Amino acid sequence: MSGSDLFTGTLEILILKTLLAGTLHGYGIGRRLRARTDGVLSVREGALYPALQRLQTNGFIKGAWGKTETGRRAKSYELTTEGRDFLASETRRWEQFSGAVAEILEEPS
Amino acid sequence: MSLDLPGFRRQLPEEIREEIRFYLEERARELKEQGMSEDEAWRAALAAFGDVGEIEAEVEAIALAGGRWSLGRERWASLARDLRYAIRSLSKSPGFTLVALSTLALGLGANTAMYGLVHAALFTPPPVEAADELVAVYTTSRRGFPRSATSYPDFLDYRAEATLLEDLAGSSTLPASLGDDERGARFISLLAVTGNYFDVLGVDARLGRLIAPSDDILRAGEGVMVLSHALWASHFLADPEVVGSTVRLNGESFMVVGVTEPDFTGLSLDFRPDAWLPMQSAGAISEGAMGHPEIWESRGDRWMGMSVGRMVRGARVEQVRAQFLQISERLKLEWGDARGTRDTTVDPLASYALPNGAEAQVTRFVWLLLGVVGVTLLLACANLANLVLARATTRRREVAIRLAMGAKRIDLVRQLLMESTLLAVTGGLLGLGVAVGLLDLLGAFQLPGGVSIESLGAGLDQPVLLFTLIASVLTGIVFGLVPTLQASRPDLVSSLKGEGSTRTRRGGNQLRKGLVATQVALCLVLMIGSGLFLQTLREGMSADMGFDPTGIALARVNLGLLNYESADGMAFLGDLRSRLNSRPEVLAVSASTRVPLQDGGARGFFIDVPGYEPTPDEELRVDLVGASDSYFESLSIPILEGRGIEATDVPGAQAIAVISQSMAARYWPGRSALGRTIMLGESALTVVGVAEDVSWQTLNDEPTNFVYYPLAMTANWSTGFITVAARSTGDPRETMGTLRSEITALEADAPITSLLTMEDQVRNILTAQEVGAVLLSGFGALALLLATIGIAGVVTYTVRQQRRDIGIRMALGAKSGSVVSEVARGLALPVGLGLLAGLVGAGLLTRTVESFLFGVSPTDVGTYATVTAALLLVTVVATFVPARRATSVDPIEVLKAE
Repeated sequence: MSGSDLFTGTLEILILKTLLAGTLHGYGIGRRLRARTDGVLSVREGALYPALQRLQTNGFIKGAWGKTETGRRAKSYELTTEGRDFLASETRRWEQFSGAVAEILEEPS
Repeated sequence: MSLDLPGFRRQLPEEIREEIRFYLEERARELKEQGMSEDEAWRAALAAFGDVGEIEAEVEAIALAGGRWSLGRERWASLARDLRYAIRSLSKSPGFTLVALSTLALGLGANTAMYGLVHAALFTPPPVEAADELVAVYTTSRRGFPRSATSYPDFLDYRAEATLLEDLAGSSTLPASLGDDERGARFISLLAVTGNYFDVLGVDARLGRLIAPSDDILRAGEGVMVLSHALWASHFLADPEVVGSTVRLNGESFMVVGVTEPDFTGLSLDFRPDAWLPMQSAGAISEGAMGHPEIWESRGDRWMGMSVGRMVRGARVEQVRAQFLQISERLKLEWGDARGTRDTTVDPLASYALPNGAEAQVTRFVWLLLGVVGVTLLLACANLANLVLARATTRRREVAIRLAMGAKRIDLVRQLLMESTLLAVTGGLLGLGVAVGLLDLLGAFQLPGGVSIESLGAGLDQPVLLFTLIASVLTGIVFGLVPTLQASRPDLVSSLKGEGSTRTRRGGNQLRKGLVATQVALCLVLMIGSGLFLQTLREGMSADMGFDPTGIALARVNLGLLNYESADGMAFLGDLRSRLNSRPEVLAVSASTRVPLQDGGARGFFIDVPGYEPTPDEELRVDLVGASDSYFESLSIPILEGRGIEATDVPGAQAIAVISQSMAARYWPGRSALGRTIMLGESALTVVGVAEDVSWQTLNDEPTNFVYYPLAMTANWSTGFITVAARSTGDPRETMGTLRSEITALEADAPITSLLTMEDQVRNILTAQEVGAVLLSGFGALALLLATIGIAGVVTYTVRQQRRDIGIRMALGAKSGSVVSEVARGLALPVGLGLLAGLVGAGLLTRTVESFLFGVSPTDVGTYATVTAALLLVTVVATFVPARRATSVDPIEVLKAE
């Protein structure tokens, strides 16, 4: 499960993308992902947390404990500068990759 | 269950749990808003989330790994995650864990203990400087026995000419009576050594100094000696003032100059000197061979035991061996018959020297012990593999789900392997306790060659711990790997659908049957082994030794050590016997140079038998025993013809002999030996009696030619080792006490070298067999238990797996009996093959124990048949009982459950 694997980093990238919009706690990230993607979390919603931890460990996001609007203690996450840079470079990488795939697929055989 | 690893924040698991709890609460609330009941919402939230514990573990592992996307770190972290996962899943099934851990602790503990023995006996170097540079040098006997004695002049030539040795030191053992005014007398074993001995070994003194070359000069009254730490601690109560004080050895004064380090106990497994003294002064205290001046000059007087040499840097044992052969070739030419055609033996001394003549026995025996426990461990592995297989199969759905979710097969295998390795290593740790206990238990026994297991000091040394670790990990892999590979290849669809049906399981069943066959085979081998050893023990205790060992007490004394003259010795023995005879419970008392089954004391003589034509190469050699009157009565040896030795057989009367039955049959076959003459040197002895053949050394002795000669006529023998045998009506142990008190009443300083009953003496001969029998039957029983559990487990499992088929068939009217017999038929082949393999294996393997068996052949048909029948019976019970129980279920219930 390393970052250079082609697709295993997908969930992490999507989390970074979600956090571009602003600070969110885990449940909030999960809800958006469920709403906006079809099935990234469908097998196992809990997979969100290892991904969050991995991003934190790498310094791409940082978490802080605070209160929700209902007064409940919750940890919310925001992007760091490194996280933004990483998201940008991964997006480029993805575009290049998908471009390459598209070229191959669209080549007349 | 948090792992306390460095760099891991303890509060982290709490935070993760809190985050997840928050998520689940919110999620459940969301679902409830969509119209679910509280209960349904929670269940759905949990189901969608996945295994909470597993996710927590994953998060922790990633946090643990820290840093950048680092492959190495994550790999470690994933190992840690597997470990947590394993701990959790094991603690979920405490029954399985308990059975597995106790099986492993026993199996690995026994292996640790036995490897400890092997290590201590064969691979541990004596605590000297660079033991791998040392060689032991011996001269061969005329007959070619490799480790025989060396003469002093030969030793000097060896020392001078062996240029590949830095130096060579000589030694010779001798017994002595140690005495001083404060502490009374005590019999000790001495090693007389050349002055360079301790320099060659490179050992240091604990107190004072050791023997130096300048000590090795004969100066009356100025002898020095060095005490072993053990003697200093036990006899002198570790009194440091002893160094510098004077003690008496056989009445001669010696000054104690030092004490050795406690771990230095000599160089041989079976001989631990109590003290060392310079070789030259040994002559002064020895009445025997070493007391005569010619021993320093004569090539024919061979009295030195092991010589120890230190090789020059870079020399190899083979080179030293070749050089010694050259030296002995030269000596052969120069000295001819005076020395004899002897060679030399050069052995590496990288570990303790094994008992002379019993090297192969000791080696084979310790490996046998390790082999036995090794087989038991394999058996345990087969059983655990079965359990793991069963567990893995019940976890098929879990495995299938995880595979469907994209888990890699290798990850699953690794995880399941982690579980078995964790079990094995924990079992190994627990096994260390078992090993300590087992070694303690075995301490009371002896290995062949008279090596007391206790004296080996076997313990949990570093190499032994390493062995346990390796054995544990291997065990974990062995019992974990096969079922794991099996389990991680499930048929996804049928597993997910929860079908517990038959077809897809064929592979697992084959494996399970293979394990049953293996278990039956291994179990049979162990049981046959233990059967043979038990048989040996029984035969041994009731063996026809030619005499009846009951009621006899034996005391061995050496009066020569107190400088008794022959006449005094005879007088002492006469007084002692009459004092003992006056006791009402004593039936007969004798004094002799040797009694049956006693170490040493053999005196070989060549005889002439007038009227007997020997074949060209035949040696007319006999063993001579000097015996007082009542000898045969006191030892319950039957006189077959004529008479025994009587009180009237004294110097001046006719010289007579009693001979053994096999000797009579050899020289006068078919005729009476009575009245015939034997020439012993110049003396003509008239045969007056024929005695039953008795066992002299081992229980399966070949009958030998023995001549019993009146002790009174060989008066000078009375100052060597004499055994007083007293047969009484009472408990021979009480007679032992009587013997001791009567001997010390006559001579307070009398060194009693041994005091025991004849039955103990018989038992001492059997110790190796006893250890073998105890261990083998212990492990045989354990093996049987394991195999029973294994078979019953397989049957239960098979039946449960086929529950639906069985249910349908029984619903259709099949009798439960026919179902049971079908299950049994399925096991008949593996059990049959296992029995066959076990029989063949036992037939091959028991040859290696042949030399330990007595009165029973290694392929004894009776033992094989009985044990096979017993094992078959057990397998039948282990098959039918669980099968019947499993099929007695109501078929309707079974079908409903599906």
